Amino acid sequence: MHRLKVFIILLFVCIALVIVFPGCTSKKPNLEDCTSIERQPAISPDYTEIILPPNIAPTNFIIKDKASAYYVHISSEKGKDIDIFSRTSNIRIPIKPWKKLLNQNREKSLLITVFIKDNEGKWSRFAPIENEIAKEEINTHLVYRLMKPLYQYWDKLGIYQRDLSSYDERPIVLNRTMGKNCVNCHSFHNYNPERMIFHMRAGAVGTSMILAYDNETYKVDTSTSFNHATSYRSWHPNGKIIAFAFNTVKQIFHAVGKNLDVYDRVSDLLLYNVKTNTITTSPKISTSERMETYPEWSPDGKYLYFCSSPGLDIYDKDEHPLQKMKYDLMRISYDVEKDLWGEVEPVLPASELGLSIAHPKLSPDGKYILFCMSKYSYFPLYMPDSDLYLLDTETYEFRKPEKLNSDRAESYHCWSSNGRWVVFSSKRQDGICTHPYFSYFDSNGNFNKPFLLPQKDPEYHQSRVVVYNVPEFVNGPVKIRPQKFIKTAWSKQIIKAKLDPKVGKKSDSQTEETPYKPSPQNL
Amino acid sequence: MVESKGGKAFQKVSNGKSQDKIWSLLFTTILLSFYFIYLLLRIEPKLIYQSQEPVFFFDKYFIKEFFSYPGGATELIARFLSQFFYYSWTGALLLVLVFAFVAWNTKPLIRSICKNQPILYLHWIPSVFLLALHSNYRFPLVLTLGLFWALVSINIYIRLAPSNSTLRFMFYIILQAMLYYITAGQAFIFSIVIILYEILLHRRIMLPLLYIIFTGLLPYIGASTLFIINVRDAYAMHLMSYDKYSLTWLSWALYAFFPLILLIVFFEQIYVGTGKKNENKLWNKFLSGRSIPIKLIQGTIIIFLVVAAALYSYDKNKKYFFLIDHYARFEEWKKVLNLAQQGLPISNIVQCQVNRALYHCGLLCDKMFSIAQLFGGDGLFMLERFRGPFALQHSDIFFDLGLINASEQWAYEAIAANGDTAWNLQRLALVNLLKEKHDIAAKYLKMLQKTIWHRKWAIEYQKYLSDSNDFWAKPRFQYLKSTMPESDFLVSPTEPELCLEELLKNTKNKMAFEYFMAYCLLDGQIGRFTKHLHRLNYFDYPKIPRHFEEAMLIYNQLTGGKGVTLPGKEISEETIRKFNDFNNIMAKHKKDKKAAYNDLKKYRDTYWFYGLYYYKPEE
Repeated sequence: MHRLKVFIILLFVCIALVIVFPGCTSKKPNLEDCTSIERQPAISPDYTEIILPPNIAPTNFIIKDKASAYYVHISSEKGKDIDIFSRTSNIRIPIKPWKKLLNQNREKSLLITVFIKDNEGKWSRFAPIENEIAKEEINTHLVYRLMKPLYQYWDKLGIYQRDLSSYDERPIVLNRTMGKNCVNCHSFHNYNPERMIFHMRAGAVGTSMILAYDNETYKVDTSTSFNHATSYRSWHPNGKIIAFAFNTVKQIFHAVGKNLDVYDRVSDLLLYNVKTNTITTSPKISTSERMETYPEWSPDGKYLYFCSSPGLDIYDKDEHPLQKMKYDLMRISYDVEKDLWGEVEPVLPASELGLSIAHPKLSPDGKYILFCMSKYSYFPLYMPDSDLYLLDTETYEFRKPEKLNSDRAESYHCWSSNGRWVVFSSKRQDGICTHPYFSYFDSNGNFNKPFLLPQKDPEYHQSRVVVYNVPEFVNGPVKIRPQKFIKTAWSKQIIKAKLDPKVGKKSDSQTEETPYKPSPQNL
Repeated sequence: MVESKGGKAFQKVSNGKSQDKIWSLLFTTILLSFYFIYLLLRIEPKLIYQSQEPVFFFDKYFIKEFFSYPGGATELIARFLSQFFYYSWTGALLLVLVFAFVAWNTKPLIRSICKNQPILYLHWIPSVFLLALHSNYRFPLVLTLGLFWALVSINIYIRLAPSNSTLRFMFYIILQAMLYYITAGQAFIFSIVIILYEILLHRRIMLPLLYIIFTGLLPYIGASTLFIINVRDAYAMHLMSYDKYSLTWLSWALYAFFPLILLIVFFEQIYVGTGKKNENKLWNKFLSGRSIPIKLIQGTIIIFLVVAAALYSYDKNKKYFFLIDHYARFEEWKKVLNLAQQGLPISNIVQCQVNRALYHCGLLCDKMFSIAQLFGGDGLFMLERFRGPFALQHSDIFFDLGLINASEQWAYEAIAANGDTAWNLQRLALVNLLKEKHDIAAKYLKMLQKTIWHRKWAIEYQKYLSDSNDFWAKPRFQYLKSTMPESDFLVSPTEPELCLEELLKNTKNKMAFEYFMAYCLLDGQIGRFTKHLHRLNYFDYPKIPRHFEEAMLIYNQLTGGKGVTLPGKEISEETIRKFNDFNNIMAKHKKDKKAAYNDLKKYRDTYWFYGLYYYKPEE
C-alpha cells in the first residue's frame, strides 16, 4: 500500500514536471514523417557557411522561421551528435558536447539540421546548414573596449576580456572606478596577456598610460616637451619599444548623411622605450609637413609601417580640408640595436587612387597587410564606405576580400597569433554599433565568410546598443586583477617619460587637446 | 467580581497603551495625509522624474549589472521604485510609504532603549528630514532606501542577536556584510548605532571594538577582493554621494539623528534612574507624559517641525524650472507660456523652452519680447555650458528645426549625461525612424519595450518598422521630413545658431525662418534680418509679425528712410503710432534711457524696449 502511494506520488511529480518544463523533454521528431523544406532555415546571427575554430564557444542562434516547436540536430563525422529540443526559437547549444564535437572533427564539416513543428503537430526539416571546422585554433581570449556610441561626452566604458571558448566576459578596467576617465588604446606585446598598455585620459586620475609588464603595473606620463600624451600604438617584437602616435584630434558634425567625422590637425610618431623610460623619434616620422599615424611594426621588427598624409597647411583655408585628407601607407626601416632610422618609403600611395588608408596590420608571418581604406580621413569607424583590404608584402598587390566586407563601416582588426584568424570590427548590423566578427584566413590567402562573436543569448547583440572597440587577441586571460589597475591608476607615483636629448622641443603644451569630454555634471 | 490591585494596575497600563495606540494612529493618519497632500500638490513628484529621469528596464543584463558592486541592489530597487515618480500621485504615495517605513523602523530602535518612548511621536522626526530632502528634486531615492535597510538591520540585530559573544560577533559580521553589499557606505549607519548600542546598553567594550575593526576593514577587503571598485569609493559610495548628487547637511543631520537619539534617550534614562527625575518635572512631563494635552503638545511640535521643514526646503524657482521643463517635454506649450508669465526668474534653459513654446504657439514673432529676453541669441540655443547637462533639451530644439543629425548627436550626449533614459531612447528611436535607419531604431524600440511607461509607445512605433507609410502619414513627421535639409553642411556644436542660415534654404522650414529672424533681432543684427525678410512670403503670414514691423521701423530710422519694404504687406498703423510715441518719449527725455524708463515701460513688450534696455552688444 505504502509503495503504491509512493508510486502514485512519483507519477504525479513526473507528469507535473513534463507539463511545467516541456522544453526539458527530448521530443525527437519522427524523421521518417518529416516533410522536407528545400531551403536552409533563416537564423540569426548568420552562422551559415562559415569556418569555425575548433575551440570557439557554441554559436547559439535564433530560428527566424515561426513554429510551435524546434528541434536541432548537430552532427559531424566523429563523436556524439547533439540534439536540442526547444519550444522557443532561441537555440542554446550545450557547451561541453559542442566542444567535444568540434575538437574531434577538425577539418571536417559540421551539419546543423533544423526541424520545425507546425500548429498541427507536423514536423518539417530544413536543408542542413553546413559549416566547416578549421584545424587551427583561435587565440583563447579577445580583449575589447565596451562603450556607448560616442560623440563628445563619454560616460561608462571599460576594457573587457572574453574567453572565446566560453561566454565568460570579465572586466580588466572600468572607468567608473577611475574617476570616470576615458580608457582606451589597449595593446599587448606579442599576444602576451602579461604585457599590456592602455591610456587614461582626463578624469580624476589624470592623463597617463598604464603599463603592465610581467606582473608589475606602472603609471607613466608619456608627455614631454616634444609631445603631449600618446595614443595609437604598436609594440616592437622585442617587447622593449612601443611606437606611438600623438595626435591633435578634431571632430566635425554633418547636417545630412552620416553625423560625424574625425580628423587630425597634427600628428607625429615617436618611440617609447619601456626599459629606459625614454622617448625618442626621428624627423622622418615626426615632420610638420606631414601627419603620421597608426604605427605598426613588421613581425621581424625591422620596419615601422604607418599611415601618412600631408599637413593641413597645404589646403585651401576657405574650405574644410577633410575630404582631401588622404593617408598613404608608408614604412621606414629601423635598427633597434643601433637606433638607426632608414628612409621613409611608400608602400601603398592610396591617395593616388583617391583613397585613404588606416589601421595597417601585418600578418604574423609578415606576408600580408590587412588595412582599412575609405574615401578620406584616417578614422574608418565613422566612414560607412570603409572596407578591409589585403596587401601582399612581396608583390605589393592588394585586393578587397569581398567576403569580409559589407556596405557599412569595417574598421579595427587583429590577426590571430597563428595568422589563420582575423577579428575585425564592423557596423554591418545596424550602422551604429561595432561588433567583432571573425574570419578564417586560409593558406591560399583567402578570407572566409565572417561570423559574429557568439553569445550565450543569441539575441544579445540585437538588443543592446554597445560598441565593441579595438578587438585584440591574446594568448590566455589577463591575470592582472582589475583592483591592481585601479590602485596604479590612483597612485601618485607617476613615472615621467624622459625625452631623448637628441630630440628638440616641439609641443607648446603638454596638455592634450581633445574634443572628448567626461559626462557633464548636473547643474 | 473583585479585581486585585495588580489587575487594576495592569488594566490602567493596558488602557494607557491602547490610548497611546489610538493617538499614534490618529497622528500617523494626519501626518501621512499631510505628507501625501503636500507632496502631491506642492512638490509634484512628477517633477522628480523630470529632474532625474530614472532608468529601469525589465532586462536581465540591465538587472545583473547592479549585483556586481556594493550598493547596486538598493540602487536597482530605487531605480524601479523611482519609476512611480512618473505620475505625481504614485510618486507621492511612494514617498509617504517610504517615510512611514523609515518611521516604523525608527520606533523599535527607540523602544529598544526605553520601553516608555520619550515623546510619543519621536520616531517621526526622520520623516521630517526626508520630507525636506525629497523636496529637492535631485535627491535620489536610493539614499532613503539605504537608510531604511540600515534601520531594518539595526532592528534585526537588536531583536535576534545571540547573547553569546562569539555568536553575536558572527551575527554582526553576516549582517554587516550583507548590508554593505546591499547599501554600500550607508552600512556605516548600522555600525555606528550598533556599536553605541553595545557600549551603552550592554556595557561591552571588546565586542564593539571588534565591530569597529571589522567595519573599518570590510570596504577595504571588498574593494581588494570581490568588487571592482576604488577603495575610496568603497567607503564613500552612497554615504557621501550618489552618482552626481553630493550629500548636504540635511542628510548628515538625518544620519546623525540615529546615534544621537540613542545617546540622548540613554542619558535621559540614566538621568531618570539616578533619582533626579523630580528636579525638572515639566521637562519630564513633556518627555514621558502621556496625558492628552502633553500628547497634543508633542504632536504639535512634530507638526511644527514638518511645516518648518516644508517651508525651508520648498524651492519655488526650482519647481518652476522643472515644471516648465516638464510641460515642454510633453509639448504643453500654452502651460509653458502661462507659467512664464508669472514673473519668476528666467534661467537660460527656461528662456529656451519659453521661446520654443512661443514658436509652437505661433507667437514667437509677435510676442517674443513680452517675456524678458535676458540671454540674447543664447536664449534660443542655450549657453554652451548648459548644453551638456541639458543635452536632451538641446536635442529638442534641433529636432523641432528638422536638423535631425544634430538632434541625434545631442540625444547621444544626453545618454552620456543621464544614461539610457526613456526620453533619450524615444528621441533616438524617432530620429532613426526619420532617417529611415530601421535596424538601429528597432534596437531602441526594443529597449523601450522593457520600460514601464513607454512600452505601449514602443509597441505602437514598432509597427512602423515593417510599414513606414503610417509613420509618414502622421502630420508631424510629414512636416519634419519636409523641413530636413537636403544638402550637407557642417554644424558647429559651439555655434549652433550658424545652422539656421543653412536651414533657411529650405523654404518650408518655418521654424528655421522664425528662429533665424529672432536670432538676428536678439543679437542686434538688423541688417541681416532685413536681408532675409523677403522670405516671409514663403510662409502663410496674414500680416507682418509685430516684432518684424518694429525692427523694420528701426531699420528705416537708422538708414534715413531707405528702409526695407515687403511687397503686398504694410506695417500696421498701430505699430507706426507706437513707434512715434516711443521716439517722442525718448526725445522728451533727451535720449536718456534711464530717465525715460518709467514712461517707456508701457512698451516693454516691444523690440524697441529690448534694444534699449536688454540688448548688450558687448556680450
